[in-house]
This record gives sequence, C-alpha cells and structure tokens, in this order.
Amino acid sequence: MGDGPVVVAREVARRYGEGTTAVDALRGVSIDFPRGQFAAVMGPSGSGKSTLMHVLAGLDHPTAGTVTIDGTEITRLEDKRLTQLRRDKIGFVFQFFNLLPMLSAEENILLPASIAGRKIDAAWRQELIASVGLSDRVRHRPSELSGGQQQRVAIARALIMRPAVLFADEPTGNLDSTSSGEILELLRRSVDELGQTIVMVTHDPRAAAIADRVVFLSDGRVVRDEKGLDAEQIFDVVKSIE
Amino acid sequence: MLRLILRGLGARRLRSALTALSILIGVAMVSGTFVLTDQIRHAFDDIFVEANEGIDVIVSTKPAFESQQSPDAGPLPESLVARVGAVDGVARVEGQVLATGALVVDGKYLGSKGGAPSLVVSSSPDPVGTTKVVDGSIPDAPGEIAVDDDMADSKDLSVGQKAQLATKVGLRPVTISGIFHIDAAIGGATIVVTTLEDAQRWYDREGEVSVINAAAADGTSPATLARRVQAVVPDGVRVQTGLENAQEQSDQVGDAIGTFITPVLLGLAAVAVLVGAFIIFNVFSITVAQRTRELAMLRTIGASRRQLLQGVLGEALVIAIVASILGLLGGFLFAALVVGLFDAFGFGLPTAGAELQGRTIATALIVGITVPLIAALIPALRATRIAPVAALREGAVLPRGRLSRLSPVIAAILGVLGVLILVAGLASDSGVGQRLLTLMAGAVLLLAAAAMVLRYAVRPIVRVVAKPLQALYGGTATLARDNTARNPARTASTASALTIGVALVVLVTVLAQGFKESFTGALDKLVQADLIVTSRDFSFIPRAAVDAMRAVPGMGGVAPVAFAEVRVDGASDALNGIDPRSGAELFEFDWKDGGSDALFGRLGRDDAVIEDGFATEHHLEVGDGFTAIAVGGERATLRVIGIYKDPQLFTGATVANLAFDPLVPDDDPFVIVARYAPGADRDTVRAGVEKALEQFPAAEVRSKSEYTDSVEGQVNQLLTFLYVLLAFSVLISLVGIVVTLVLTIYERTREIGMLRAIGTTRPQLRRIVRLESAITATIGSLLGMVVGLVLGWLMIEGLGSEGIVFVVPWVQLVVILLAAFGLGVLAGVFPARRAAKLDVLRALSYE
Repeated sequence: MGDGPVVVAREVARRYGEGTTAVDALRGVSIDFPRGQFAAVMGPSGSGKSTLMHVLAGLDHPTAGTVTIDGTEITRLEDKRLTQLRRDKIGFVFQFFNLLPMLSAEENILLPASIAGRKIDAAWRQELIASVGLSDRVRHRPSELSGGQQQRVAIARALIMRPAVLFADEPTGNLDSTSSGEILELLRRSVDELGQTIVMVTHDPRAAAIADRVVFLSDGRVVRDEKGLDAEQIFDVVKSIE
Repeated sequence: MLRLILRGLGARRLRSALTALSILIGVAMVSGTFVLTDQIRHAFDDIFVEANEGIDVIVSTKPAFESQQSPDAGPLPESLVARVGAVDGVARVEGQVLATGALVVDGKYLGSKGGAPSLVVSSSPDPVGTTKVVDGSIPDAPGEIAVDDDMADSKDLSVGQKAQLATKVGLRPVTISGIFHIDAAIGGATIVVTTLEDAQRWYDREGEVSVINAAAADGTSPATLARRVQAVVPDGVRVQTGLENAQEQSDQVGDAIGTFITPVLLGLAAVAVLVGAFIIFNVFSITVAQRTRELAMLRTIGASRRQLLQGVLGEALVIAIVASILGLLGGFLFAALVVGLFDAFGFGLPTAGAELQGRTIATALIVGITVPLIAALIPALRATRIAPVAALREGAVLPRGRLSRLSPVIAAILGVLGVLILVAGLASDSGVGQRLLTLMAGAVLLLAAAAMVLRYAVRPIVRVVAKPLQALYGGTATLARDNTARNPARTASTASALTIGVALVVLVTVLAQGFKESFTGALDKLVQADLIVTSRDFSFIPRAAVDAMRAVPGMGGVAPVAFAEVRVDGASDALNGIDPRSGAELFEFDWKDGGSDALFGRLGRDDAVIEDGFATEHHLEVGDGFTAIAVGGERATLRVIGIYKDPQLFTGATVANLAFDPLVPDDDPFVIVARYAPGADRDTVRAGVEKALEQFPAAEVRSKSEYTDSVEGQVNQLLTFLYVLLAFSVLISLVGIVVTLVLTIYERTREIGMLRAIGTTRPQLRRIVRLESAITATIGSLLGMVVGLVLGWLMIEGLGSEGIVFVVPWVQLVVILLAAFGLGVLAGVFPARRAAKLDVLRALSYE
C-alpha cells in the first residue's frame, strides 16, 4: 500500500451501443480518490454517475481509458482476477441492501469471507458488528430487521474484508430520513475511525454534504470538483448544473 | 386469453420445453409399450400364419387346459392319419412330428437363442403346407434334413454338407438336402426339417404323430372340412382350421410374452408419468408464485378469477398437447429401445410392423393430457386467490393454499391408510398377484405421504448432507445448503420426484438380492449336488442322458427331476417327478410335522409329498388326497404322505417317476442333479460326464456354484432391464431439478448479482448451484432409499411363503447415493452456467 490515491481514473470513456444509436455515458473522465477520503459523486440522472461508479468498481468495462485500484490496473483484467480484486479490495453498499434472506445478519456480514474461504479475526468481527450497532441483532434474519438495520448489515458486509475502497450506490435511497442519517453517520465514522476510503453515488445533497469532497458530473464529464460544501451549497451547484 | 397464454409460453420457452419433456418421456413409454405389444403380436401372427399356409385343417390332441410351461398335450396315434385322409373333401393329408433339437456342425451346437425354441419338424416329400425351398430339395431319404436360409447363411451351411442332429437318442449323422426360406421373423428360434420316419424314430414317436395336417379339395371350405374331420376323430382330439390354429398359437405365445412385458412396461410408464406430474405441479407452483404481481395486475385490469384459472390451465393444456403428440411418436423409439435391450441380453423379440392403433393413440393422449392438467390444477387454483392489491406491493407473496394448513393432516391420513392397506395386503390369504397389487396400492399412498412430510424434514437432512461438502468447499457449500433449505416445500417436491424412482430402484434391488440369496441358500441346503445339468435351449433333457451320466465311472447319485404344469382344483400348480432312490441320496428336504427323507422311499404310485404353500393353498394335510390333471387330460388322485418347506425349488407337489410317468408321457427331466462318488477325482469325473453328454449337446453341465452364478446372472439381467427403464423416471426427475433451478435462479437474479459484486467468482457461483442441485438430489434419493427398504421389507414379509429373505444391499445403497449425488451435480451444470453467465450490472439493476 502506497500513499498515492486508491482509485485513479484516466480519460475513462464508456459508450453503449454502436453507430447512430450509440450513447456516450462517460466522455473522458480523469479523477483520483486519495486514501481516507469520503467522496460523493453527484449529478442529474443520465449524467453518468452510476456508470462511473460501475467502471471504477470493475463491474463494467470502459470503452477507453484506464482505472487503477490500489495500484492495480483493472481495465484489462479478465473476469477471474477482477472478481478476486473486488473480493479483496472493494466493498459495495447497494440501494436495495441485497442481503441473502436465508442468512442471519452475522452470516450476511461474514459472507465475503466465507466465499473467499478466509477466517475473520474474532476481535475485528466483534468490533465491526458493535460499531454498526448490531450486536444484539446478529442472529436475526433480514426480514426481521428494519431497513436501516439491513443497510447497516450491508455496510458491515462491505467493510469486513477491510477493502481499499468502499463504493456506495445511493445507500440512503431506500430509507427514511432518520435511518438515512444513521447510515451516513456510520459511513462518516468508518472514514474517520478506520481511515476507510469511500466513493458514494447519491442525488441527495444532504447525503453528499457529509462527504469530504463532492464531484459533480454532467453529460459524462466532471463539471465541478469541490471540497467542504454544505448541503445548501451543494443544492445550488446541482441546480446550476441542471 | 389464448393469445396471452401462447405469449406467456413463448416468453418462458425454456421452462415450457423442459416441462413438456418431463411429460413427453412418460407418454412415450405408455405409447411405446402398446406399439411394442402390437409389434410382437403382429410378428407371431405372421410366423404362425405362414407356418400354416396351405394347411386347411389341423388335428391335434386337445389340451386339458392352456399351459405355458408344458404346452404339448401329447401325440396322436399314426393310424388316425389314414382315418382323416379318408374324410370326404380331404385332398391331401400328412402326419407330422414336432420336437426339440438342433444341429451340431464341426462340434458346435447350433441351438436357438434367448428363450426361443430349437424346433425339429418332420415333413413328407410332398408336404401339405407350403415350404419355399430355395436350394436342394425337401428331405426324402433317411438322414436327410433341411435348414432355413438364415441359419444356412449365418453358419455357412450348404446342400450336401454333413452334420449331426441332437435327438432323444443321442447325436445322429445327417446330410443337408435342402434349404428353405421363411418370410416371418422368427426371433432366436431354429428349425430343422427331417423326414417323418426319422423324426418318429429319433424323438420317441414310433407309431405316433404330433399333428395331422390336411388340405381341402377344391370347393370344400376349411370350416366344412374341419366339421367333417371332427366327426371321425375320437374324444380328446381337437380339429381346427389352419387359421384358427395359427391364431391360437399366436395368442398363446403373445400372451406368454405379453403377460410379462406389458404389465412391467406399463407399470414403469405409470411411474414415469407420476414423476412427470410431480414436475408439472412443481413448475406451475413456482411460476405462479413468481408471477404473483403479474397475475394481480391482470386482476386489477378486470380479469376474472375464472380467466386466471383458464390462463394457467390453458398453459398446462398447450404444453400437455404438444408433449403428448411428440410422446406418442416417441413411443416408436421407446419400443425400439426395449427390443434393443432384449437383444443385448440375448433375447431376440420378433417384431413386425409399426403402427399406432386407436387404443395406443387414445391412451397416450388421455394420459398425456389429463395428468398434467390435474397436476396443474392446485397451482392454478392458488393463482385465482391472488388479491388484486398484490400488484401494488413490493415483494408480494402468494397466499398460502387453503389446503396447505391441512397438509400434515392429509399426509398423516395417507400414511395411515397406506400402512393399513399394506398390512391388509400382508395379512390377506388371497393369491400372490392380488396381494402384490394391494401392496403396490399401499406403497403409492405411503410414498405420497412421505413426499408430503418431506418438507418438514428438509432442513435437518440438508444440514447433515451438507456437512461433508462444507468441509470440502467451505462457504460456497454453506450457501448451497442455505439455498436448498430456504424454501423447504419447493425442495421437498423437487426431491420427491426423484424419491419415486430411487424407491423403486432400491425395491427391485432388495427383492432381487433377497431372491438370489434365498435361491442360493435353498440350493445349498436342499440339494447335495456337485453337478447340475440343464438344457441350453430352455427345454427338457433327453432321458437317455441320465443313463449316460450314470455310466460314467466315479459318478455317485444321479437324480433327474421332471416337471409339469398341472391343475389342482382348477389352479395351476407345479408337479415335480423324482427318482425316489437317487432323490433320497441327493435331496435333503425341510420336512414339517416330523417328516423325514425316509418318505422318499415310501413314495408310491398314488403318493405325493407337497410343499407347504401348496398345502395351505389347497387346505391339505398329511393323509388327505387331491386330484392332479395334466395338460394331456390324464388325471391322478394322490395321497399326501408328507409336507416340506421349499418355496424356491420344489414348489407344488413332488411325486415319484412311477406316479409322474402315467400323468405326463413325455417325462424327460427338466434338470439333472448329480454327485461324485466318495473319493472320486472330481475333474476326471466331470470330464467324463461332459464326454458322455456330448451325445446330448443341449445338456449343459455346471457345478453348483457355476449354476447359482448363472441364475444370479439371469436375475441381474432382469435387474439391469428394470434399472434401464427406471432410469427414465430418474431422468424425468432430473429434468425437474433442472427446471426448478432455472426458475429459482431467475428469482434470485439480484442476489446473484450481489454475490458476484462482493467477490464470488464464476466457478464459485457455478459450484453453489451445482451443489444445491446435488443436495436436492441426495435428499430425494435418501428418502427413496428409506421408502424402498421399507417397501422391500414389507413385501418380503408379506410374501414370506415365497421364501425370499430380506437383505439390506449396503453396497448398492452407497452406489445409489453417490450416483444420485453425481447426477444432481450433472443436472446442476446447465442452470449453473446460466447463473454464472448473468451480467453483474443487469443482475443488480434487475427489478
């Protein structure tokens, strides 16, 4: 692990389809995400923010440009290496939690380790579960948990392998405001206390406001890259872009 | 609605195709069984009609009853030929001898194969029937014979060639004078034509003939002539037209084959259809559940419950119709497969023609269409109970069926009913067939109950089954385990389909194993023999072979056993004829009521010792008398002097030769058991016996262990045959696993996307699906084993008098379990590929 940026994108373009019907979701994005930074990616729908996240996370291949995660260039990796990289270096938090209904909260959290065939240090496991506030819920099934609790399970699952970067796709999109606040605060803490790097896609200025940095996308390009904005300011930027 | 149905089927092509396949196989087995039965019938019609071509009237001894084991009712006096010839309207007449024997060429015995007869047929130089001579001429002089062109071609025989013919008096030198042709396929049978005089001399028919053939003069119809001939022959002689006779023979042989093959094949077809029904039920249950929102939407826009019912059933109907029509045609393939299977075992089934008779079409279509409809009815009814508001709810689930709360109760009722019927079947003293049928009915109920209860046992079983897999594969195995356990009802019904097939595999294995063990046991205990001689062509051994064996130096006791089917109180029973002196030396019966082997010596002309089952059947005790009627019409009243237990070998009644011979004039032994003299060199004596029996090449000499091996080999063949046919049911249940998994994967698309996103590799994902499949298959086979063992035990207990012992076939059980696991993995391959191919992004955004 060096001290350089964890995620580096250079001239990343993503085009869907061909010929006249081709759609350019990304038109040459170059951006770095340093270690320990909480970044939010914003933009109107169709701006390419989700595509950027998918490409950065190795879920989608760019049509041009390169992406490097923690020193590894992932753009040309074949599926197997890419999957291993995701397993070891990337954490995911989804809008729809995506927990396995037949597993308990704890089993869901440990799922990446179980798939990778790794043992998780008991102290780290307990610490993590405690820090997401689920110590008394570990035996519960997802159906017995509230939306906020389910998302906390998902965050713990994303953190269990100590990933180099955690990608969150609208993590509060499916939650009420109280739960949203808890989730954002949890993400914030993981940056502050664990030094976690987070890239979060959101359309909610209040969510973005908790980040250290907000990247604005429009029409497949980075149009603004700001630090230390509050919700109001973010809202104004969003308005100005639209 | 129809358009909607067809669109739906088109959109779910894979599911529809797999579902259709699961019905198709069962329907093909049903239709194939009928096609095959018709083909065999057709072939025998051809054979016998051709054999009787040109013969208008046939005179033979009237059998006292129809016997499959001893069909020959005995000869007619030759003097009758002239009397028939003198009847007005007879143009030509001929007495004919029919016997068993085959050629030996260059020391090789050219006998029949696969249960077909080795026939010797006499002919006059100018036969009444039509013989198509293709080379040379019909035998005219002593020692001349003719053979059929198939045999001549395959064995490279030509006119003028010298050979030997196996006769009742040993090998006789013959010369091939002619080669003839037969149009009809004759299976594995062989035919040698001799002169009448030779046949009479060689086959114990001096002054006798087997049948008298007559041709009518122009203007006299066969029926008229038959009436006139009937008037001049004595009682007990039967006169038939050529066609009647052909029809009767064909019916007899057709029945003999049909009574074995048809019920077995139809039974197995029924099992396949039942398994298919499970799949339909399962697939439709899953699809209705998956389409809950879509169906609710249809309700909100005004579709009535009735329309939804019609929609779901309509889908089942379309699939069923397509599958039934294809299955009907697939019947030809199935028939060909069964013929091929018999061929591979050395049993040539003669077949002719290939037609779909009305009843074949009707049965196949009725079964193929109604069974899926009935199976789809419950899911269809559940679809109608979806509330319209479900369309608006995220993750709406199907309401639980009205009956599902009752399912434990229903299962309990079925189970208790099944056990009661089984117990009733065991306790009843009706015939074996009746009891077996009762047991079968109980078995089906028990199986249904087990399948229904299985859902409650899925979780614990899965946990145990997954243990070794988890040790091997870790997290992926755990996921596979949890996936299997998450919807126990679905897993249970998917697995149950396999349970049926495996239960039957285990059942036939247990029965076969039990039979083998008890047969070998009985032979060891009851017969103190070193050598066992039987006929190669499933016939009798010439009596002269007994004397030939006795003359071998170093030979101890030689005991011939004759066998005939007789009627006692109208029931068919076995009558064994033994030589009391050698019998006492070689047999050690298991006597009841203080009997002993000394009873052999007391067997006189009117005495019999009887088997326990026979005694029970006819309510006989020592001192009672019974009357036995032989197929030739001879009858004897015999007194019971002892009762023994031997449900395997000497079933029915056993008498001394001097009682047997008057009843059955052809008293050639069916088997000869023999013992070396004390101190004799075994190899030398055996070589001597084989040398002596060269004169009787149909006789096959085997040591006791060789003989039991060959019996076990035959049982194993039958077992293999059943396994192959049961494999179809297993195949259908695997199709069921495939389609369930495909549907399940569709349901879990988003989960799969998440798993991939958090680092599950494609091989891992594939393994998860394959293991889920394997675990499901293992559950099904485990339950199948339990059910199979229970049924096997019950049946063996129930048929205790048949003398089969219950043995748990551990080795086979382990093999079956491993095979089920392997097949499960195999069934999972295709769904696993589909799961692994899912695009992560699409899977994640999947709604």
